[in-house]
Amino acid sequence: MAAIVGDVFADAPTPEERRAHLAYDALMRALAEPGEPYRLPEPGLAVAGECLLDLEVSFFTPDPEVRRRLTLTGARPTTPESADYLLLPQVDADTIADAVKASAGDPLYPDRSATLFIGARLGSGGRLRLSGPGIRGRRDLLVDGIAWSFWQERERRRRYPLGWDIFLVDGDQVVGLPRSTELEADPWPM
Amino acid sequence: MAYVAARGGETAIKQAECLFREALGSITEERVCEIQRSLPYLVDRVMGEASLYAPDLAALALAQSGGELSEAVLLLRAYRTTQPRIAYAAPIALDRQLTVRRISAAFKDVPGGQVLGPTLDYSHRTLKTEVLAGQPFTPTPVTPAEKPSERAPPAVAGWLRDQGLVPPADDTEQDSGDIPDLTREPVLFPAPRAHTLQALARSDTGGTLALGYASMRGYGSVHPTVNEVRLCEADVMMPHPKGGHFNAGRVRVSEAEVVSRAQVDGKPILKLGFAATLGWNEVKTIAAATLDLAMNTAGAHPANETEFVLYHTEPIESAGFCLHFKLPHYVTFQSALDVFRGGGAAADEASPEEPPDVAPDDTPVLEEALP
Amino acid sequence: MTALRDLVRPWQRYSYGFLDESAKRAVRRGLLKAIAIPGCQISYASREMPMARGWGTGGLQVSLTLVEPESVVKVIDQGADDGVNAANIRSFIARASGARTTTDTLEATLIQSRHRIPEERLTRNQLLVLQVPDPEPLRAVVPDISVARIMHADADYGLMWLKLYEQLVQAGRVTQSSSYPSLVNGRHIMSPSPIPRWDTPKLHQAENLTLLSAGREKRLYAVPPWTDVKPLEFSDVAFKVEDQTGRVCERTGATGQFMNEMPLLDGTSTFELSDAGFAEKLARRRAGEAVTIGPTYYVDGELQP
Repeated sequence: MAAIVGDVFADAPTPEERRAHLAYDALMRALAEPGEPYRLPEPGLAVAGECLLDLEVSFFTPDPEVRRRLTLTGARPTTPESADYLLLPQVDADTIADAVKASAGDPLYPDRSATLFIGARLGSGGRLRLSGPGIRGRRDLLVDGIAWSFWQERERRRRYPLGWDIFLVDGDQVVGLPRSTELEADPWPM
Repeated sequence: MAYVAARGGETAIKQAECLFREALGSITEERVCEIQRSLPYLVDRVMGEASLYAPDLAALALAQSGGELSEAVLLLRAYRTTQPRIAYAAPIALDRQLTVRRISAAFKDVPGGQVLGPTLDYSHRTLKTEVLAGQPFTPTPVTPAEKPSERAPPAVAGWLRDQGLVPPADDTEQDSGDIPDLTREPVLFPAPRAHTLQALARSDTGGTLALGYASMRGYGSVHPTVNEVRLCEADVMMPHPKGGHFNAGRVRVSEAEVVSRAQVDGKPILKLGFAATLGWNEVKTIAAATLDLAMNTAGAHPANETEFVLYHTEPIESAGFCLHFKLPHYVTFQSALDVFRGGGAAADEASPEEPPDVAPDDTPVLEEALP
Repeated sequence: MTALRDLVRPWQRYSYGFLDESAKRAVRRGLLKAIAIPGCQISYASREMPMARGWGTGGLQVSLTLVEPESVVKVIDQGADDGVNAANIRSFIARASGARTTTDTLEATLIQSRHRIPEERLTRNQLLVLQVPDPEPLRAVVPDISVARIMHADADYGLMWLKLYEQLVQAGRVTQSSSYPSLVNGRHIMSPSPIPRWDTPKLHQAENLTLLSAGREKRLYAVPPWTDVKPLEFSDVAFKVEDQTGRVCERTGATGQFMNEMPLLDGTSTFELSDAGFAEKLARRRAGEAVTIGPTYYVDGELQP
């Protein structure tokens, strides 16, 4: 970390500020370049939530530890339907119901949609073929550990500019899939 | 690496600032205290427009800006930005707060009485020029009344409601944290009432007065009667982590209620307009309460448009934007000149499908093109 | 219930980057939405900054949210690093963050700009923050922001096209100069901020992320890398940038880049490069110094693919 010298008036970033900054930087770049993995300062969903949430927004998570950490930001825990942020360690056949309740925004306020952080395995499994803003031509992404019907559900709910913004988190790796990304999902790539 | 030309700009702005600050001299704690002590109404106005109650900081802002009001408000607002929000105080009802002045123009006498309190309203506005000749002006001491006025006289609106003259108030208890907050989310239209009142509370005194006055004077549809104007010292009740509330101190608050006749289904009714602000600032609250009534009524006057009123009475946005025209605009002006000279904008050689039958007129072209 | 002590932190004179964590989070949330919907204006609370509104406070909030101690910051106004307001903003960002500053576009990781995009091509790791006075491209046809919002929701841009057509009919040419309305990702019409038309094509399929922020008007929007940004044009009347033909930079001898015109007493003009950092490097190279100059968007007045 660079030393702060001269007539600098602000204090150096606290470790929490530093972590939040690095986490946000990864999220922002991941969303600007869909499908390109970026690194979070620590593994897991909580660190991603912490850099965004405060007492102005709400969240849903089934995970007690993530919930404990995010409650300290002042954000309100709520239902999947009304949450601004959903943090889902797993989206499988049993838990997909929560994910698909997420809000896709409304036409006057497309930004009033939910952002989903989902635990996944990156680099193996089914293939997502991505195109759209942030992607030069096309980009392929291999994803495992998510119920494949989730991608159909994403398409069903996506009425651009309405839709979900999704981050897939695998350990400290994060990949962004904004609503602007066109996606072809192939569960059994050759 | 910095280079000479960049230093030029930096030196120039540093020196320009030095010129301004040198003219004001050293700012000492005494000077700030003296401003706070001698100019409380100015301090109040700055705190109200900044929506930050901190008399010492407001006085410091005035000292630093040499009394340039929009600068002082900006200083305090910018300081406010750096302060984390840790809790929401309980809402206050002004008819339950320590009231030092409460008058009603609507009735000769009202429950709780007319409490004149401190005011210059009925004074002769003469300069005490003898002060300049070395003779201090010492105010005549106040003779206390035989019976003190009520600590918190009831609201006149309450009586009007009891009489069925204005609709009953919505007394639903609301959690402070659930009230939409203008400083944490942008105002969107149609604006929630909370945003409207918050925007008026921190609006520019002069701008609010100008729009309110135009409406009162006859451009608008509102002919207000001051139901009451009230100056209070209100208790700030903070939630305690262990439950309940504790009193964290008092703030000076002013409020105004105005009534105006209106018609609903051909039947005359009274409508109530309200405004409140931090600090004691009567002219702003009366103008703002009038605007509260005027907004979203039919009519072509700008005061009838919430969006127009709230956007254009914002003190630091209006002042900042007005002053930003001092910044260089030579790139946009260059781009406009290019259009004016017919250079780039659209192909001259490629004619539109239907050739224009109106003769090109250069004057409106330049006006359109100017940034 | 959360206890007060969990919410308070040890006293700091100012947070790193001036903005407190909560203000930064609000900007971060808005920026992510803006990136996810390119060209769509996202409302945000927009805190008051220690500079006047309308003087770059929107850009400043984004820069202060993004800056880190390792950042290299460049700030320009009308293309110049030495403009008084650019100098002021640069010194504030540096003092609030401890980040290094530069005038060299190639070296910068974070560029805040008013009314220009540098002539040297921005690359993937660079962030461009544009200051925006008026984010609403439809303002000229509908001053009411609630109505404009409905028009954006419906992609109802007929009035905008009509306005350009009216200019064409009345003046024989499109008279929109800077802030040229552009269609982003085939969906949202956006004001690219008051950059000259010369700079508008630089946003199309760019390598870098561009963030636009209007502090006074409280709107954020973004153009991610590799995104379509198309200035509105008629099929038979092409969009044209400002004509730089025959203009030679007095200081560097450069041609075919965006020039500032400086009137002379005799009624003629001289010209100089608007991009001052670029001009400085050209001048130093002319003086025999080894200077790295990056590829430019335009060569001899021609936009490069």
